[in-house]
This record gives sequence, C-alpha cells and structure tokens, in this order.
Amino acid sequence: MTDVQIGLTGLAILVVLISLRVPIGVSLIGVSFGGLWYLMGFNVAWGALGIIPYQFAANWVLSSVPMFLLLGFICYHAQLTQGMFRAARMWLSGIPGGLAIAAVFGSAGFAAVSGSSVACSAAMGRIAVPEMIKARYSPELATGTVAVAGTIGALIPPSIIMILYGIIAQEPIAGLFLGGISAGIITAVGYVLVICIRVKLNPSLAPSVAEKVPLSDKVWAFKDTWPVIFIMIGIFGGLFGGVFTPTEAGAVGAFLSLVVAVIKRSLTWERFRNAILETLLTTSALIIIAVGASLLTRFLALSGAGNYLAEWIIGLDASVVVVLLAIVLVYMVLGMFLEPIGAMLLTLPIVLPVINNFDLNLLWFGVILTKLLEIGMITPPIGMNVFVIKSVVGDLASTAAVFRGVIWFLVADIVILFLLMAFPEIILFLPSVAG
Amino acid sequence: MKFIGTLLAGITNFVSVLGGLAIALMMFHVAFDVIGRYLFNTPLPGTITIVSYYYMSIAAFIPLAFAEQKDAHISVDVVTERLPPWIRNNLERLALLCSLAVFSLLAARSFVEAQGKYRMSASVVQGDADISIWFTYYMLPVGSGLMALIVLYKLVSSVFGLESALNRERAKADEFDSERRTQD
Amino acid sequence: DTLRYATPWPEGSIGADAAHFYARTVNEYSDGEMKIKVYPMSLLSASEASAGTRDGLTDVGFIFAGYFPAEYPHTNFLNETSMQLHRFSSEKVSDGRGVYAFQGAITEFIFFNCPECLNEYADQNQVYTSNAAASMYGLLCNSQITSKEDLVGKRMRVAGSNWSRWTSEFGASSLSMTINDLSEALGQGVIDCTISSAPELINLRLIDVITDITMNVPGGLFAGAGSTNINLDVWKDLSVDQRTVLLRAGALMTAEFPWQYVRQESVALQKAAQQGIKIHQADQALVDATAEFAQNDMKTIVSYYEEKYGLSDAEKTLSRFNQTLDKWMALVQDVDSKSDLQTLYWDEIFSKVDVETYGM
Ligand code: NA
Ligand code: NA
Repeated sequence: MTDVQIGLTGLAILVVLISLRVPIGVSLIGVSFGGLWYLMGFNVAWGALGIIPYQFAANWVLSSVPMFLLLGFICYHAQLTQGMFRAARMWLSGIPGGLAIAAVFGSAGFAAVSGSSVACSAAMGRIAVPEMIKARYSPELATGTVAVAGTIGALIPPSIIMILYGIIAQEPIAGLFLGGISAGIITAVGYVLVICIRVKLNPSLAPSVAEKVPLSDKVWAFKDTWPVIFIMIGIFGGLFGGVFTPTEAGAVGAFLSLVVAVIKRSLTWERFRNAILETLLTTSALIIIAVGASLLTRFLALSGAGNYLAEWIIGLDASVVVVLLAIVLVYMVLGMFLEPIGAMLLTLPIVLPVINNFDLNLLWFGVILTKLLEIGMITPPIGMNVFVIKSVVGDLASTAAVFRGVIWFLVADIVILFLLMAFPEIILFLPSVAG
Repeated sequence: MKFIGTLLAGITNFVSVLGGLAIALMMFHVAFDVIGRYLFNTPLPGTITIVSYYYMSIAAFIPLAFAEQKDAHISVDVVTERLPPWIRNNLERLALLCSLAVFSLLAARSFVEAQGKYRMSASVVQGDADISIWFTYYMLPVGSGLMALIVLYKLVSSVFGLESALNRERAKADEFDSERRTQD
Repeated sequence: DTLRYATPWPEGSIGADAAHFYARTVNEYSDGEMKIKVYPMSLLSASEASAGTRDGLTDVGFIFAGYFPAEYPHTNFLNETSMQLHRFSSEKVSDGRGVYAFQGAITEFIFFNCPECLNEYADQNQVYTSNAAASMYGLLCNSQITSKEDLVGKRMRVAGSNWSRWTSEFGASSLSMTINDLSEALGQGVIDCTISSAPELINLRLIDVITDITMNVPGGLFAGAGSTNINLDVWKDLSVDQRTVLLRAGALMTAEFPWQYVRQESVALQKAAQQGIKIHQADQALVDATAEFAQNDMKTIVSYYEEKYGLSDAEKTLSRFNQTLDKWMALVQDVDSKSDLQTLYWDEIFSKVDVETYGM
C-alpha cells in the first residue's frame, strides 16, 4: 500500500469502528496509533501518543471551553435563564415554534461572546433544550435546533477559527470578524425559517402556548430577564471595554453568573456542585475526542491522505465555479470526520494557493471556509456540536435523534452557503463600509 | 466483585473532587486575575501557566473514569440502535475491549513520559518566574489508568453477567424535575 | 531520500518561507538527491516540537529552547543575555548588525564553546545544525512611551524573563499572553504594550491595533532556537556528504532568519508610518537607564541559572561569550548583503565543524 492508501484505509476503519458504537475518542486514538505504527513504525506511534494528548489539553485558549460550559451549567442549575425564556415564550407564543426561534436568537447573542461553536452549543443546549422539552417540543427539533444554532458561535465574532485563518492567510482579523457578522445573521434567519416551515408542516413538533397573554404581563416579563442581560452586558462590556480578552471571557462570565445567582438567592451548594460535576463530565468527554482528532490530523498529515484530497482539486484544471464546488465537496467530506481547526490547518497550505490562483477574495473565502467547517460540526458521523448537545441533554435524546433533528437545518445551511458564494457582497459589505 | 466495583466507584468519585476543584479554581483564578489587573494594576502571577498546565491537565484527564462510570463518553448509535439486544450486547463488549486497549496503552505511555519529565523537573517560564509543571504530566496516566480499570470492571461484569456496583446516575437539575411535577 | 521538516510557523510567515528556502537549498546542494518536505504548523506545534523531533515524528524540527527551560538551560542562559547589546554604541548595532553579531556569537558558541549545549540537544535525541534569531525587541503600544515616567503603571505583555525584569524596574507590570489573544488584548486596551520585534506588526496583524512604536528600548532579541534540529538517529544514518549538505544549508538558514527579520522590520515600520502610527525614540535618560539595567541584569541572570539549573561557573561562561560577541561585532560591521552574511557564517562557523565526528 502507498502512504495515501494507508491513510484512506485508516479513515475507512475509523468509520466502521464508530458505526459499531465504539466510543469516538477511543476510535480516533486507536486508529491514529495503529495507522502511525503501520506507516512510520512503532517508535513514532509511541512518541505521538506520549506527546500530543498532554500538549493538546494543557492549553490556555482551550481553557475557555470548560469555562463557557460552566457558565452555561451555572445559569441552568441556578435558574438564571428561566425569566428570559418565560419572556420569550410570552412574546413568541403566537408564533409556532417560538421557543426554538428564541433559542436561535439566544445562540446568536451568545455567539457574540463565545469564540467557539462547541461552547455556544453547550451553553445554549443547557439553557434552551430542557425548556423546550418541558413545553413538549419534539426532542429532535429541540436538540437539532440548538446543535445547529451553536454554529453561529464561530461566525459571529469573536471566532477562534477566523483568528487562526487570519494568521495563516495574512488577512486582517478585524475584517474577517466584520464579514462574519452578516454570515452569522443570515444563518440565524435561515434557521428561523426552517423552524417556521417545519412547524407549519407538522404542528405537533412544537405545541404553541394557547393562552392569550395581556401586553402588560408581556412587558412585566422583561423584569425577570435581568440575570441573563446583566451577564451578557458584563461579558460584552468587559470584552469591548478592554477589561479582558476573549479567552478570559468564559471564566469571567462563569464568575458573573455565580455572583448573580448569589444575589438572586438561587444558588445552593447542591446546585453549584452539580454545575461543576457536569462541567467536568462534558469537558473530559469532549477533550478526549479532540485529542483523538488531533492525533488523526498528524496521521493524515504524515500519510498525505489529507493533501491527497485537496490536491485532487488542483488536478481538475477546471473553471472557478467547478473548483469552488470541489472545495466545498472536500470540506464537506473532511468535515464529516475531522475537528475543524485540524482540517483547516491540514488543507490551507494547499487550498490558499488555489484561491490566490483564481484571484478570489481571501476575506470572503475565510468566512466561507468558517461556514463550511461549521457545517462539519453538525454532520455525521463526527459532529462535535451534536455530541455536545447529546452529552448535555443526557437521556432526553439519542445521538441519532439529534442528527435527525439537524438534517433539515443542513438543507438551509447549504442554501445559505451558496447564497454567500454567489453574492460575495453579503460578506464583503460590512468590511468595505468600515475599511 | 461487588466490593471491587464499590471500591472503584469510591476512588473515581474521590478523584473527581480534585477535578471539580480544578474547574472552580480555574474560574476564580482567571476572574481574580482580571479584577486585580483592571482595578489594582496587579495581575495574579502565573495565571496562564497555572490555568493551562495545572487546571487543564486535571480537568481534562482526571474525570475520564468518572465520565465512564456515568456513561458520559460519546459514541454514535446511528447504525446500531435497531439491532437485536444480543448483538448490541456483544458490540458493547467490543467497545469496552477497544477502550481497555486504548486507555491501557495511553496510561503506560503517558506514565513513561511523566517519569521523564519528573527526572528533569520540567518547568515553564512565565514573567520572570519559573513554574514547575512536571507533576501535571502524571494526571494523564492516573486518569487513563483509572479509566482502564473501570472499563475492565465493566467488561468482566458484562461477560460473566454480574451486576455492576458502579453508580451510573447523573446529576439532575432539581428545578427541572420539581417544576415538571408542579405543572403536571 | 525525503526528510520531514516540521515548523510551528504558519504558511506565509518568515519562518515558513525560511523552511521552504531550506528545502530548496538542501535539494540543490545534494544535486536533487535529498528532499525536504515542509510541514508548516500542520505537524507539530511549538510545544510539541522538541519531543516530536526526539521521537521521530519529524526528522527535522524547529525548537524554541525557551519553551523548555528544564531541557535546554545552557542555550537559554546565553539567549537571555541579549540585552547586553546595549554595551555597544547605537552606531555599531544599527542596520541589523547587532542582530547579526548576536546570532553569529551564539551559534559559534553553541557549536564550539558549549559542550553542555550540544549535550542537552543529544539528550533529547537531536543534533543542532542551525540557529534562528528575530530582530530587536521594542515597544508596540497604544500610547506614547518615550520616558521613564511614561512607563509607570503600564501593562506590558512580555515573552522573556529579562524583559519582565525590565518592566518592573521602571514601575510597569508584565504579563504573559499567548499570541492568539495578543491582537484583541492590544486592540481593546487590556494591555498597553507588547515587547516584540517589529515584524510582528505584520505577522500577528498588530499594525491594525496599535498607535505608537518605540524601537530603541528595551532592546535585546530572541536567538534561543535551533531552526533545523535533526533527529539523532536520522543524522547517524546519513553519509558524510549528506551531513555536509545539511550543515551548508544550516549556515544559509542561520543567515536567513535574522536577515529576513531585519528586512521585514524596516518594511513593517514603513507600513506603520504610512498608516499614521507614530514612531518615537526613547529619550536619553531612559536609554541610559536601560543600558545600566541591562548591565546589572547580567549578574541576576548568572546567579539565577547557577542556582536554579546548577550551571557551573556561569560567570566565566558569560565572559567567554562576551568575548565571542565582541569578535562578532567587529566581523559584521562590513556586512552589506545577505550573501556577505551567509559567507561569514559559513567561513567562521559551519566550515569549521568536523562533519566526520559532529553529533556522531
Ligand atoms: Na462568536
Ligand atoms: Na462532521
């Protein structure tokens, strides 16, 4: 076998193991270790296993993930979010699927303080899914909505993916952030449309609240939204007022939520302990998968299988439209299996020259790439956002059910993607106005 | 066998306290660093190093076994969910066997690496201080070793049809249950 | 024969360009027989590079010694003394000559006068074949800093103990920060300055977020990195000719980093000026105080490395290193082109390495 064939075989074995319900982290680590051994010898595989897991986890930027998780868990256990959803329910009660729509807008708001879509999914999943289940929403709709809405987290700034892309492609990060805003908003609008259409077709998915709420009650309902608004203003204000960095925002947000819970007298020792323990479970379950993906990235890099998929594009010698479609295809396939940052690092050295070759706008492509990688976060078999939601909701829905809930939104995502590609002005408008 | 299960559950719960402390301290440490820096122009020394190496290595690896005990590790049941129970049982044993192999290997490998770091007393520099980090390398062998033991226990229990003494109960949000009850 | 070269630098940076340059050079010098495949940022991160080269994930690795204080104390000791360049007149160190001299001195010293340095690399299953250095460190800030008074109470991001001590000497506070956070932190005013080399204005996009630059303080530079450390097993399997090729390419690589950094420094400063960023000179009082600090700091460094890492007679090592640096300061005064620098490093250092025995 050639090296590339070894890499592709490894990917095939990976799919089989995961389908047989072997835990994803175990499958990734096992296949990468075996693959490296076969490809480079035992010593290299043994070395990689010793170096990469520790170095991956002992990471300052990654620390924002457990902290944003903790923020979400504290908000949920200390009942800080109930007021917001009571208000949302009152205001959106007339609209079928109102709670799911509120969850999408909630994610868009959360996205403005979260750099990664996993953290966004985790926090909103904790807040919104139980509320929807309580309102007797279909678990598929409830979990699917929050899993996809989390992807807005990497589109609306701050965004860890865009920061890394900006560094690699030498594009101003501020410009990428501005470009991401409209892409994020369009994505949110698209998801809201999907919810409306689905609920219209099948009203039993999201029973609407029947009672008529007087306007004064609706207005009064806002007074219970202060905890969330206070925390959001704290995070926003601190970030843009120069008090702390995006990485620190998670811990500060968690701390603020703790303060609010104490003020609201809704924090008990039991609830705090539960929030911490759930953060712990989710953190280690996620990091062991990310460690595996990081190992797989090295295996694919060394086997050349990752490059093989990307080089195939250049070999096509085709028009710009065909090449872009091929790029979309490659990232869809890579996104099925890989962790997005790994996939990006693996492919950018080859894809960027292609983009330059066709004289395409690098800022525009950065936002498109982010959108593509985020679609990968919700596609099977490895969709990190789906796994996060699954681990957050426990027995309320199976992983398969969450994936089924995602499918409808995936259609919208593809439409949005093509809109963004066909009309680059959507992305480039804000950066051009500002710059 | 039951005694072993109870013992393992006890050890796992105990080390998860350490993980919980890491999460809580991470929050307080970063928050107080920000407050100290902003209000008093005196950040806490070594925050990035201590968060990255101390808290993160504990929070990431120490709760692995705890997550296994609570069935929190993530797998995909898209293909298998409609299969008959006996196939599913055997597939679960396969999954446990794979986990056992991977985590034993990881425990052994990371222990060797940790020994090396201990011998040279590995450290990192932050500001003008030199911060020891060698012992954080032991979190990975401890976490994955305990994980391997839990998996082995589950595998043996499953093969011999013994009742597991592990506690799979996850923390439930109290307000969620109580509210549902009052509404119903 | 294809060797893998993992570099933590992203594609498009000086580091990745240098890696491709190294690959071309090795290929050329071996008449196409040896090939280098470059993995920019995609195979090993900076913190994985040392162990990754040790265990053979890569054949050639870029090792920042400063990331691993316990593994490479001798290299780090030499590197940390870079602020002693204040000993020389600004005339002598201008136009990058301070950087070229320090780079030459540390490379020569590691090869021929610091067996402990080479042993530290051998202990990590590597052999040292080139050195990397960035250009001089200055203040990239959000406000004007030209005097001692300006420094009081400022928050500075630093990436080395010597700069950290410099900030506290003048009443500023220092903090560490990863490069991912740097641009936001400066843009939002979480910090007032970063002590960095000017090319980071472009590499890390700091040009969009800062308003003031002062390059003549604190000075010092970063030169504690093996830019092409080779896995020892791989090295021992190569023929004498092949090892010669790698050393010749190593000489060019040792010139490439400082040369490109110095060139990029003037490009970055020019671009900054065009964007309306104010470029200042620190006043004489601050410059003198900094030079005095640097001189006193040498004692701190010596005693720190003796106590913490058990370096024996660090003071003597430092005085021998100072002599090497004096010699190099004289040697680089006539350097006018990259090829001058390449020739100088080859003639004075790399050509004198005994390929038969080195690292074997
Ligand atoms: Na975001
Ligand atoms: Na996917």
